[in-house]
Amino acid sequence: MTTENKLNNIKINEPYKIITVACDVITKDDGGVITKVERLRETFCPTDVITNKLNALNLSDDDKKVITDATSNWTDEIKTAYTTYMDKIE
Amino acid sequence: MAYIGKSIESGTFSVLDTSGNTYNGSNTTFNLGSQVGSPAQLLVSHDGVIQKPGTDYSLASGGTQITFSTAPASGASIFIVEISGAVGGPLDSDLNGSELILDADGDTSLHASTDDQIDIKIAGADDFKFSANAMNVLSGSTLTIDSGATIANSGTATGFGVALDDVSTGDAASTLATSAGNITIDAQGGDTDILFKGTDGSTDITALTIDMSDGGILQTRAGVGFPATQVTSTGANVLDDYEEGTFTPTWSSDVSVSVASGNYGRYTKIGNQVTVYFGAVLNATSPSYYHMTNAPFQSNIPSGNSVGSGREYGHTGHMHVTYMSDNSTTVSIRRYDGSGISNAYLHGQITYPTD
Repeated sequence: MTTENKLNNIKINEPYKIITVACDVITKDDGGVITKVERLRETFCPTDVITNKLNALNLSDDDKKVITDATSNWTDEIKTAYTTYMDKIE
Repeated sequence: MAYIGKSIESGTFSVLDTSGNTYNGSNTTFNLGSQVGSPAQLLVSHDGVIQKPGTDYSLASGGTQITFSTAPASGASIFIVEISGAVGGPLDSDLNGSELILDADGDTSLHASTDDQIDIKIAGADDFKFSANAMNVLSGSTLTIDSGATIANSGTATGFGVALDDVSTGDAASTLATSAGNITIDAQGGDTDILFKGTDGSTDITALTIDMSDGGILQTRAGVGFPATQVTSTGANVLDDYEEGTFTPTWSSDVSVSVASGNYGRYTKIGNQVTVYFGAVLNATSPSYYHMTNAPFQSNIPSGNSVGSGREYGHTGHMHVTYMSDNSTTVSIRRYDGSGISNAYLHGQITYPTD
């Protein structure tokens, strides 16, 4: 039995460019037949250091790159706006 | 005894009226006063000498004229007998409703016993009927399109409905399509349902049953699926998404915080509503609140908050309030009375709207 994580979809949420990621956790039996697909999600906020979260998803390098590329939306203005927003949350 | 058997009803030997022709030694082509199909259908006498068809004469002008190979001399005596339909020539006679019998035993024929109608009788019975602008295959007869043949419709075909239980199993992909109008599947029998079946490997699967009991129940064998990427509907009565899964909560606080154990997150999304269940044992010293910053979907709560609940477990059991503001993936957790959190064993949940 093997398990493989694949990026299913990624969404960049306005206005703070929060990245919500959906992954499929695909389980196959010894014959390679898919026996189960589960959904694993992760959320990346503009002030996050994403490395640990990203690695925990066990994605391929190509899938990781999709997420890493999405973080290019986190401009300084976005980070400042998000920090200001979070500071208001008690 | 001039004739034995049935007399000739159509077709005759007739002497053509060629009195208008003038033989002058130079003209070779003359009118026949009739139309014949081939030279052999004429018996031509030229000054008492029988002429050989195709050699001594031929036909011209579509069989309405005769052309001699040698111009008849002035005053030549020529007569021409037409050997017509009775011996195989063109049938140009009025049967006047009589049958044209085609086979040896006389039971297969063409006839027009009804005015403006042609009947084809085969083996003693009329099988096909032609009338003005119409052809009928009569009751008891069959119109078969043989293998390799084609029946094409360039006009309007009506009445070609086929009883559904007469449709046999095909061996190729099939499409049920219309260029206009609805496709209606209507099970009209008493207490009948509509089933959609297929095959998975070699196993027959009834994937969908539309049960007409209680006014129609849609019953699937293995659930209802939605696209991985939601296609959002604005319909108030439309369910456009469902998803369930897990996530690993990320925690922050007004003090340093880390996960000791038991960090878990689960969620269920139905349409635009998300319910998140989470918990952890956290290392922190007298925090005022916790933030779980990575809820799986961003909230969409214009001018409002969503509120849920939580509790400390294992020690005090204090209740907590969980809440979430607009455009956020952060869930805040505080004690119900705003006092400092003394126990970092947490469970919580919150339901909030998303896009």
